This record gives sequence, structure tokens and C-alpha cells, in this order.
Amino acid sequence: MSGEKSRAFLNRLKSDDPVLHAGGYLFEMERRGYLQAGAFVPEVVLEHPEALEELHAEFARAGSDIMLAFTYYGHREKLRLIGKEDLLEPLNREAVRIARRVVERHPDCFLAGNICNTNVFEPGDAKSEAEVRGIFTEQLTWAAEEGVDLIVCETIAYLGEAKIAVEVARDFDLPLVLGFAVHRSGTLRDFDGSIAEACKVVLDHGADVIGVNCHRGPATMMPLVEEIVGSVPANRVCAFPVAYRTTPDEPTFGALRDPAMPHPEQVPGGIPFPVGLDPFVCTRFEMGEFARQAKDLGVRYVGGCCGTGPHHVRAMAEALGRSTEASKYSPDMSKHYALGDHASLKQHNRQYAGNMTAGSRL
Amino acid sequence: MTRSVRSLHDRLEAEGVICAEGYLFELERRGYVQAGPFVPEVVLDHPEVVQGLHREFAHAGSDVVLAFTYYGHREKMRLVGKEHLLEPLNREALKLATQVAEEFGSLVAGNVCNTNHWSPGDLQSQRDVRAMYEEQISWAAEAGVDFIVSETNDYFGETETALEVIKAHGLPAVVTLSAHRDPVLWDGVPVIEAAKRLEQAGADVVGLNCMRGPATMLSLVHELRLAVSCHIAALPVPYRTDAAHPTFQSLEDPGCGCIPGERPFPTALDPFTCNRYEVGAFATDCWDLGLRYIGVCCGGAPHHVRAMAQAWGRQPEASRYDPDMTRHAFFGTSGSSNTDVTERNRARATEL
Repeated sequence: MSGEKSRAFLNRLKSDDPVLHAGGYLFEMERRGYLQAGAFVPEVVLEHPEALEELHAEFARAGSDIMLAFTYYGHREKLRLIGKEDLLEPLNREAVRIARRVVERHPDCFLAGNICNTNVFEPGDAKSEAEVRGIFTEQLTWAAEEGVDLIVCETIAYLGEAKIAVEVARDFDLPLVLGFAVHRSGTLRDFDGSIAEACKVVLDHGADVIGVNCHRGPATMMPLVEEIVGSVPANRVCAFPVAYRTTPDEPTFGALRDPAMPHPEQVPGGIPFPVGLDPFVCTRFEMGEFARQAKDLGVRYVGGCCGTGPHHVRAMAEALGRSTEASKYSPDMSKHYALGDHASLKQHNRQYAGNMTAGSRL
Repeated sequence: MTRSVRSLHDRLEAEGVICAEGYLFELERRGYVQAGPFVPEVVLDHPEVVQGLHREFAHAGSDVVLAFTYYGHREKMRLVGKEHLLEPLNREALKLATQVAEEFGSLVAGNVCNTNHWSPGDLQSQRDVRAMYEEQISWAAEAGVDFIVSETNDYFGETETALEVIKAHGLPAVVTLSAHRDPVLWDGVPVIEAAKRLEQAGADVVGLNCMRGPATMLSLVHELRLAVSCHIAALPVPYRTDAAHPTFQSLEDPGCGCIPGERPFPTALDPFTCNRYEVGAFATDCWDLGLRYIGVCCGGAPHHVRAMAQAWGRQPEASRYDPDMTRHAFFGTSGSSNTDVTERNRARATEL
């Protein structure tokens, strides 16, 4: 195994204390105005590194154990799409360096390299398989040279693509966490068995942690997690949902529909995904509850994907029983001017506001 | 003061003014402000984070960098036991805002707000409030701000006091009121009537901020338009309020069993957030009503601000990163190396 931190990561999975993974950099940087929805390429790494470093720092302060280098969709196919293949290597290296700077200030964090769905994989097509292998290999070469402690391979919808990731990661002797993207169908695109069965296949193939990420919110991811822990050891299962309120009828964030949307004609495609999802964002309490349930199931790698903000991460950390650097600023409603009961507050404001919802004037 | 920018008045008469607010909620979300007391200690604890958000808003199209002194007044500092930091916090906030305003050629505004100390009929409390405004506005004037925003006002008497102090310093005043469920200020003056009186008292811009989402603020904006002839400001919270729940404090979320106190306000409002297009539509409606000063309050984020700027025909720097779904891996229509793969992924889009 490459280093002490890599071993520490694997040992941590045997503890009672789950690894907390903050993700969702694409959506959060898009929200902040530094990344383009659609192409979703992390050019922010080179164009606004200070904004990205700040988000890493926010996640670290909120209790994330994982500092995930922002190379999601920073692969050759995506850079080709926007005509910037020349930036591929600088972007990948710089992303790890930015995350590493934050790890240096938060030395308990693990530095993770990141690979993901390539969008070029085609089952049974040897040429596309070779292309995927090339994409993973070059990204992991750069990540390993920049000193990552582990690899997170995420949002994979093909069993075949997952297997390639495992095979490539093996050459780098780094722990591999792999998350499947489970669309509406509830299955992978090239495998008729269940997700739980696919997880077993990939674990047997050599992944260290296997599970699900993205697409599904806590409500529709949890049933899959329950199924997966029946198929593989729970402490080697990962689950990091999108922070959106998905439902059995609309189980993925792509499936969500917003009948209350006032101006559907102005929204790309007329659907919430991906830039009109605001009214589906989970509260911090729902994300905290997901973390607590996952821990109770024995899951030892839990977190958030697209839509997650630092407030969600802190709530998850606190639900796991921790106090984080940002917990200094966790809510204390006793000092709210109109809803609090702190003795030094002016009582007339509180009396005016009234009690909570019923009959309140606020 | 070396800044030289188009003045508030010049902009009001031409392209209009967009002002991003909402620092408290956004920095709470990011883990730097405590909900409840809501005191902007982050100004001293993490100044680089405050400047980062100023830059995001300016990049997204805000014409104003608003110094983050909301709830940075003496009463709030007392509540958290940090009165000794009052002046350093105010001065630092003004400095941080001014620096970013210089980078972007923006206006910079000082900020005063509801003190939570004003009691109608209690003259001592009213003298205290005047002194609180005096000290904050003096520091802002010394920092060279272009104007003062007095916002989230619950009492007419308190608002009038703020306006008097601002005018005494010779600064332009943007004065905005809270319209609670019943849009009457807490000392009995309806907000529309209050706006008329504030116009007569010399406010440069009068209007509404906070409390109401776009849907429930717009009807009051119509009334205001008929009531005053000065410029009107409208800065809603970007939450989906409705007739039955006209303010963000009154929103209910019966489906969620996990909110402490069962009230989404203030830390569980996420699933009521407006999308950027709703906020953009509000900006268009306001322009059509003749408004030339708009913005977002609590819950506002850069993507909302950019949508407002673009609804007013602007191309702020952040337009460089506008959504372009033609290049999405599954929903897109352009640019793959392998047409077959693109078509196959697109065919799967309905499965996502």
C-alpha cells in the first residue's frame, strides 16, 4: 500500500466511525457562478482556484474526512468536448494540489483522487474499453504522482466500466471507493442483476469500498443501501446521495418534475434538472438523518453528492456524533430576536411575533 | 477615497441598480455564521470568506457591494458578549466591501437595520437606537460609502430615525421595510403609508426587503408604485411564499418530520428556494413596473443574482458560465467525438 494515510483509511473502515465524504463540487461551483452547467467541466480549477479552495475549506471545516480533488468530469472526453484537451494534465494536477493545500491545514483529512463516468464506454466495444482505460490511467497517474491517499471513482452506470476502474486502480496500489449511478430503472446499463449483486461482483474484482452515489436523494437511495448491505460487508459500502427530495415516483434528480414551476418555458428542457432544482433541496436535518441511518446499517463511507452544501455536511458530521470546526456556528435559536428565549432579549419582540406557526405574526 | 464610479442617482435614472444581499443566510449555509443570534462575526474571524462572497455577487452582476454590518450593531454585539468588537467589526466590514467595489467598479453601501431594541413609547430605547445608528453611519461615512441601506425595518419610528441620521451625514438613503404577514409595521403604520412618509422625509429610494418571496412581494410593489413617486426598491427572499404563507417565517413543511420545532425558518428553508428563473422573472416584472433598484435578500445566491442581471439585459462576468445544455453528456446535442455514443447516451436521457 502506497502510504501511511492509505492504510489509515482502510483501518478507519473497520472502526465504528464512518468516513464522511463531501462532494457536489460541480453543482456548488455552478451555483456560485464559476462553472458552466451543461458541459460541467471543472475549468474553475484553473480559472478560479481560490474559489475552489474556499469550498474545500468549507467542507473540511464542516467535518468532511475526504478532500476530493475536483477532477470530476475533468477527463479527456470532457476537455475535448470544450476544445481544451491541452489543459487536461495541468487541470488534473492543479486540482489535487488545491485539495492538498486544504489537507495540509486539516491533516486528519484524506486526500482523494477522482475519476468518474467517461460517457464513452460502450459494452462489448473493445475500442471504447481501451479509451476508458486510457482515460482512467492518465488521470490516476497524475493523481498518484501528486500524492493522493485513495481513489474515488464515482457515478458509474456500467458494470464493465467499473471493472476497468478497479483494474486500473490496482496498478497504483491505492484504496478504491466506487459508487454506482443508479438511474430510474434501478439497474446498471449493462447488467441485468440487482445493484447489490453488481456491488458484490465489483468488490470481488478488487474494490475496497463499493456502493451508490449521485442521481438519488436520501429517500430513494436508502432502500438500495439496505439491499447492498445484505450482499457485501456493510463497512465496505459507500452511499453519497444527491441532496434533493426524490420520491418513489420520481426516484432520481433527473426524474423530478415541478408542477409549481412558475416559468417552465424559461427553464432549459422545462424540467428542474440540472439548473432548476432549488425547490427540491433537502434540509440539513434530512441529510443528517441519512447519515445516522447509514451508520446504523453499518455503512462506513457516507456523504453527499450534487446539491450538497457545507450546512448539510456539518449536519451529517453532527448526526454521526462529532463536533466540527464549523460547529462553533451551529444554530442556537435561543438568541433569535423574535423567536428566542434568551433572558437579555427584548420581550416585546417575542410577544409580537407569537409562538411558532400558529397565530404568529412573522 | 479614490474610487470614481457612476453614482447611485445616475444609475437609477438609466440602467438601474442590482444589489445582492443575503450574506447572513449564505454565510450560515457555508458554516461561518450562527443561526439564531445571526451576528456577522465572520467579518473579523474569516474576512477572506466575506470578500469571497462579495466577489461572487459582483461577478454575478450585483452593482452594489453591501458592507456586511447587518446585525453588526451594538445590541447584537451585546447579546453575544462582544461589544468591544463593535467598532473593529464595522470598520473591517466597510474596508472589505470597499476593496471589492474598487476591483469591480461597483458602488459600495453602508448597512444599518432593525435594532430589535426600539420600543414605541420608550424614549430611552429610542435614544439608544439613534446612538446606534449614529455610530454605525459615522463609520460608514468615514469609509467613504456611496450611500446607506437601512433595511428590514419593523417599526416606522425606528426607520424614520435611521433616515434622519443618514440625511444628517449627507448620504443618499435606500430605506426598505419588512412586510410581515400583515403588512403593517409594528407601531401601527401600514408599509405603504410608511413608504409615503419616508419619501416625504427625504429617502432617495423606498421599498421592501426580506420576509416575502417574489410571489408575495410583487403585489405590494404594485401598491407602492401607485403610492410614491420616488424610486422603489424590492429585495425579496428567494423562497416560494404563497397567499397562505406570505412570509418565509410562515412557511410550513408538513411532509418533513425531522425539523426541530417543525418550522422551516430559518435553518430548514432549502426546499422552498426559488429557482433562478423565477428570480429572473421577478426582475423583469419589476423593470416593467418602472423599478430601478432590485436585489435578493436571505436565501439569495450568485445564481439568482446573475439571473436578475440577465433579465435586465446585462452580461455580467459570470455569464461566461451560463448554462448550455447543448453540451450535456445526455441531454446535449453537440460535439461528441463519437456520434453513435452521443446518440446512445441521449436515448438514455429519459432513464436518468
